[in-house]
Amino acid sequence: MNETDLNALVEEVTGILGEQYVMVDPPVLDNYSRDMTVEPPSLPDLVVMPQTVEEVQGVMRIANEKKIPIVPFVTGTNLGGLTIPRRGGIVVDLKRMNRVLEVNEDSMYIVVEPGVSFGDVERHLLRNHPGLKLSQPAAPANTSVVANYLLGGLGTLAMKIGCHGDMINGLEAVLPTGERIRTGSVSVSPYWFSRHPLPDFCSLFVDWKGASGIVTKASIQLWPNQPFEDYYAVGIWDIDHVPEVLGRIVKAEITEEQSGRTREVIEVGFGMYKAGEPQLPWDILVMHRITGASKKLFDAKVEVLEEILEDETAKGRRAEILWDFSANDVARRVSEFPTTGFALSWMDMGRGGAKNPGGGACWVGGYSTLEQFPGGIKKAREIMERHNFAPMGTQRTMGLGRYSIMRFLVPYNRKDAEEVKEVREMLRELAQMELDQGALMYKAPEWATEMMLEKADQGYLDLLKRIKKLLDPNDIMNPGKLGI
Amino acid sequence: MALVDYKEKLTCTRCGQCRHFIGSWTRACPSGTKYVAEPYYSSGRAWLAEALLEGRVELDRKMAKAVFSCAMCRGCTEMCPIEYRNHAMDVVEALREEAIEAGVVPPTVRDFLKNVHTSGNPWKEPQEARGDWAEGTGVRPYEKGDEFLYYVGCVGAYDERSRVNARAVGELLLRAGCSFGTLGSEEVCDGNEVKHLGERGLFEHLVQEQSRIFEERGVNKVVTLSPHAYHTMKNDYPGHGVNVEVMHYTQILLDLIQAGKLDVSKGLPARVTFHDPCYLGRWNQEYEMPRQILTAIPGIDLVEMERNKETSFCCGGGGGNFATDLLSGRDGPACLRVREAHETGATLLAVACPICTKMLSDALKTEGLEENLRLMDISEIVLEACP
Repeated sequence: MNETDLNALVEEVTGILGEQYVMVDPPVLDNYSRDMTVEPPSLPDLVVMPQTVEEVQGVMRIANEKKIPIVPFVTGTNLGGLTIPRRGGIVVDLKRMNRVLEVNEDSMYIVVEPGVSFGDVERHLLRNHPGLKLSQPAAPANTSVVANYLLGGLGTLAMKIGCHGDMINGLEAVLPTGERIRTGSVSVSPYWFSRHPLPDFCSLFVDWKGASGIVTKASIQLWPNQPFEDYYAVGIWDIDHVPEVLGRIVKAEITEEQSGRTREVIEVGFGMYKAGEPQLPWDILVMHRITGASKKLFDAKVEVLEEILEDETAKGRRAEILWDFSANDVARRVSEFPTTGFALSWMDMGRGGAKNPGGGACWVGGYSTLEQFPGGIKKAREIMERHNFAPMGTQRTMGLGRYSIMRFLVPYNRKDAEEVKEVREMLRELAQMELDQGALMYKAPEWATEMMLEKADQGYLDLLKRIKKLLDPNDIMNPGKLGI
Repeated sequence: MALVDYKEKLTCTRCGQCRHFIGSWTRACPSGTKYVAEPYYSSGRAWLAEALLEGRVELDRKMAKAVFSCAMCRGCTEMCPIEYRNHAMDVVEALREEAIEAGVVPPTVRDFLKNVHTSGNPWKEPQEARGDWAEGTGVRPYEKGDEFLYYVGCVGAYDERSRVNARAVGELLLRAGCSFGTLGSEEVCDGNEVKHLGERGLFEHLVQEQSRIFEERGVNKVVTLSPHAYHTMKNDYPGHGVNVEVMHYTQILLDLIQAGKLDVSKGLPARVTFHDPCYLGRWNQEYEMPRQILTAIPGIDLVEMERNKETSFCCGGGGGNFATDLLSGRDGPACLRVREAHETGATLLAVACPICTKMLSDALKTEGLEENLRLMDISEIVLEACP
């Protein structure tokens, strides 16, 4: 944007937001131009911080009229480069929209603005509604609930329900053309209890990576907090047995959460990783969270788990409870939610799996079936070890086993240009491997989305483009991120 | 160390874990809570440092505000899950040094440093008046052979409200029969805020002055009013060849009570909540002593704020902000903190730092809470509990 146009834009936007919330200083723009991943940085033209829906609408109308890109931002921790303003424009930092608007205990939902974090909601529920909880991702407490849920995040209740995109009851959003819309029951009723039984427009925002508008309110499903709860870490000795063992546990409907980490994740975390030389006897550690409304129910579920594992082991698919967390502090550190220090310490591990802080963290991952998991892990191990990265794989079962994520954590040194280049190559190989297995890339950067859409049904692609064009005639909303 | 020396240590990923206290899930960063924009968080400053070193940006006055608004409270480093937690505060200091070199400091910071340099305190008050707080107290000048020097510091010496704390500690030490004295108008600024504001040269000068005085006067042990002075004399001065035994006054008070040298039998019936000063708590891991003093006083019912001990929320006065005023306002940490104290149902807010006293007493006025919540330093509380 040339200086004259920029000045005119700043003046108009300042008229809506006030000087304090319109930023054009190069150091500020630099801060918003990048994230922790290997995605190349790109500067915005300005950064704005609205607080009300009307302010968002005002900014959007100006941007649409002038055909200026808009990139919604809250914390920029999506690990997919999705808030990097690839074509410049306006980064809309939504952190000032930070109200918890409503909790409905009977219908179990919470209505929040995009600047509300998981930490904020956790605190609000603990203080005011301790009988309720929401599904939490393996992400820092600072992460935006709305952003994570819109990106179809995976969380502690994914096993029961599916990804977080399935746990949204309704939305309020500002379209790229500036109109405010509501969808879900709240578009007719005062209550935000469901997306049904109306034609659903929530899906015009879920998984759209901010490319269809700015969501200004969302109703998120809450769940009962059961009085009895504990984690059980199940080790599976052979990765090939994962589909059978986990599938059987899932179908017994005894666990609320099932999330795995390959042995390399644990080895790296405890400083014992050696490439090609397993240090632990089991191949994957899968955390199971069991809850119960009564001690009797809880104990019964644990008993079923134990029986399943005993039976699987007897059939040659060795799987055992390694730790129950109430008794094991180390185990608890491995899996604390919302994410606490140990679970994020992988970001300090460098190439080769040793501690070597490099300031960079990224991943690649896809949603696929549990059946694909063993093959994917084996191929990923080959790819990552060839590039001298510890193959830290994670898994989370979703929708009662209907699908699962397979994702690989890559901490790297962002100051080493050669390493950055190699990580990009490795991520492409991993993405291609997952796509060849029939996976769908999750929260992916543009290049991975483009790779994925090469396999897309033409009818799907055509419809995607038509709807995008209808909503966003000037292609201002987070351009490029949909891969079309 | 200069900023360039931290180049390889700038490994913040901007994960944001530093922005919440784990457990209470409350917000942790005073400047981030007030300003909300990315550059006002620890990660913002880390990435700014990187951008400067890589030549992508230059510091300007607007950005300097983000750099100098950090209260240096270590709320972020307490929560940071990675190695960067060991460098975050040093990076802020080094960034500030760059800003000073570049001549792009906020006017209030410039004035702060200039006043300390020319007048020995942030407010340009006369040096001769530095000992006036002690008038009428019976506290005498330090003499060689005294067990310890009672070091008051700039805020305790000059701020009207904090002088009450200085006098209260003096009174308690006298009642306990301690062998001590003060430097009065000869006292020199301890330099903690100067150092944290990035003025290394001035800090080194102040330490040299302090060293000369300590040597001339035969000072081997110092008891400070302020945790800021305690922190820098304990942790920074030895690196500059000044080695004295340093304690914060709360660290000797309990012994005096338990030894019967201070009689607190009159008690003080009150529901009290304690605000942990960052330079006693997170910087030096002293959380229990002030609480033990409070619970030793008959009648005190101690309740904790939601953010306490390792997860205490800073009053916003650190990093020179008590004078540079970059974190004031109803959306600033001090006002948030007094609202938090009020929520406990306490009628008395206890502090152990003259800077916290200044920040929180002003905030009580701003919030209209003076009738509901009385602010007292621990020294004042102990004094009131004495017959």
